[in-house]
Amino acid sequence: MPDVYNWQLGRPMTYRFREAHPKWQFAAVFNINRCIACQTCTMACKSTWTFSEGQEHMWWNNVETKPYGGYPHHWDVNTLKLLDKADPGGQKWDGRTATPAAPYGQFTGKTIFEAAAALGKTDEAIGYLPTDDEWTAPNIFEDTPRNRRESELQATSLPEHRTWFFYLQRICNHCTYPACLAACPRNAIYKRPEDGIVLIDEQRCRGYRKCVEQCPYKKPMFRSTTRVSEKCIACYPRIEGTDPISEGEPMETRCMSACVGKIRLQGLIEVGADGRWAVNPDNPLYYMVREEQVALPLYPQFGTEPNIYYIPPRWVPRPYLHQMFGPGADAAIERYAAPSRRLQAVLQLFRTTQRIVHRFEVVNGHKIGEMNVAGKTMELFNDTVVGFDRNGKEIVRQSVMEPLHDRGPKYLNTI
Amino acid sequence: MAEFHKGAEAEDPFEAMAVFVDGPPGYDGAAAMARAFIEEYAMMGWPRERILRLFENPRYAGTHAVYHQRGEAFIHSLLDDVLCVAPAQEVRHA
Repeated sequence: MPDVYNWQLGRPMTYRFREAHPKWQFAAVFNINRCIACQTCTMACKSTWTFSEGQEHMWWNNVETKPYGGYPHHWDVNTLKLLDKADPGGQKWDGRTATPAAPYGQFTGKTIFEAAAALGKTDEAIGYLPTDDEWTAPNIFEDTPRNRRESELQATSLPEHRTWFFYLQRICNHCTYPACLAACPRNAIYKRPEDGIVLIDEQRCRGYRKCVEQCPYKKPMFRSTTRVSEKCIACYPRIEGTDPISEGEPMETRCMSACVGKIRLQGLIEVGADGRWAVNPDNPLYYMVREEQVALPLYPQFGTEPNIYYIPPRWVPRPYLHQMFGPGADAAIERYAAPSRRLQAVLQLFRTTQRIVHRFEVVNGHKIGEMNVAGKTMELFNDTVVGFDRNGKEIVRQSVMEPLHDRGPKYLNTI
Repeated sequence: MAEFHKGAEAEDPFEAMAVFVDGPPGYDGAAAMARAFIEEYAMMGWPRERILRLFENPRYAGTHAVYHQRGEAFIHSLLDDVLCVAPAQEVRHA
């Protein structure tokens, strides 16, 4: 198998196909710190793409409560166990100093592709098929952890978290090196050269489910009524600007644009022929992932180079975050907890427009307050962020301080 | 009286559901979460009173759980600590 370069691992790795990259890459940043798990994204996706017979279990977008749950159940723990079995005690990062080509250091363990080879498997990657039971329900029992004494329990009391938890938003990662694509014996899965979106050709698919088995994120799903697999299509008519309401300009997906908590920002990253991201610190995604490095890939050690990035939750025990987001978690939290003025302004861009923001500028405003973050005083400024589309046209202007529209007691609960 | 404090068991098919997942020694998850929420909303320019309402209102389950468990004085102490000079938000009445 040829070697390809995986910048998230900081090293080359083996992959079924030679290195080839799209001109643009679909990517997004999810800010876990602000997610309230309202599941509006989940229902926006469901009501758009997976409302038909045979798609009942398909939640291309789901939000799960960590560490208690996942969809399908145990998806990440199961894959982590398989990796540990293939490389006992060896799934580590070397802790070397970050470089632009290896911003998180170098991963010295085995990817899902390398683990399959080490175990002598004929499959491209290690994996497993979730059971029917594991596909039954998203978020079941996830919000019922407890550590109360029996004497405190009352018949009328509702389940209540008394420990740490956070919400993890999940869609297909439209990976740079997709395991589903490598796994398909029919070559029915492809990555589009124009935007890096990973799609299944349902005419070629014969439902072998190798993609379901080998995608570590478990995002391809089998449809029994048509006998083929389906997955998130990144709402590609919106990305292309061919959706009637897009007026020809790229738009964010349904799950992104429906986000009530303003935790999602999605866009397109320009990719060079060598697979490196074209340097563009004025692109909000590039800025957060590569400049500030506050947004990190989910389980980068799997080796697929996923393109959804997460600002990690600040309150969660660090060993858990290191396992989930790699060694960049500490620095990401440090920079996010006391953000620069530029980062503060960019965080205001989330969910201000359905259009894809290709470039941003920040206009300085006056000081509005001070915060104590970890013993240090942080100044707050009412800066304004301005977003531009791919043609350089201004599409959004948003200040840090938004006016509060108070409906007053007279109008509460009138919906 | 038996406690409902059961640890995770690797062989349990229900894994971590409905069990207590500990943090490191000395880790106060509720305080860490509450402080993070206050900082998040302060960064968005929210004034003190409005942030406090997130904790007081039982409809906001995560924040209200901390308010319920630790009391109003605890939330005020966090607000005091985080907000050195709280922003004053422009309010437009409907």
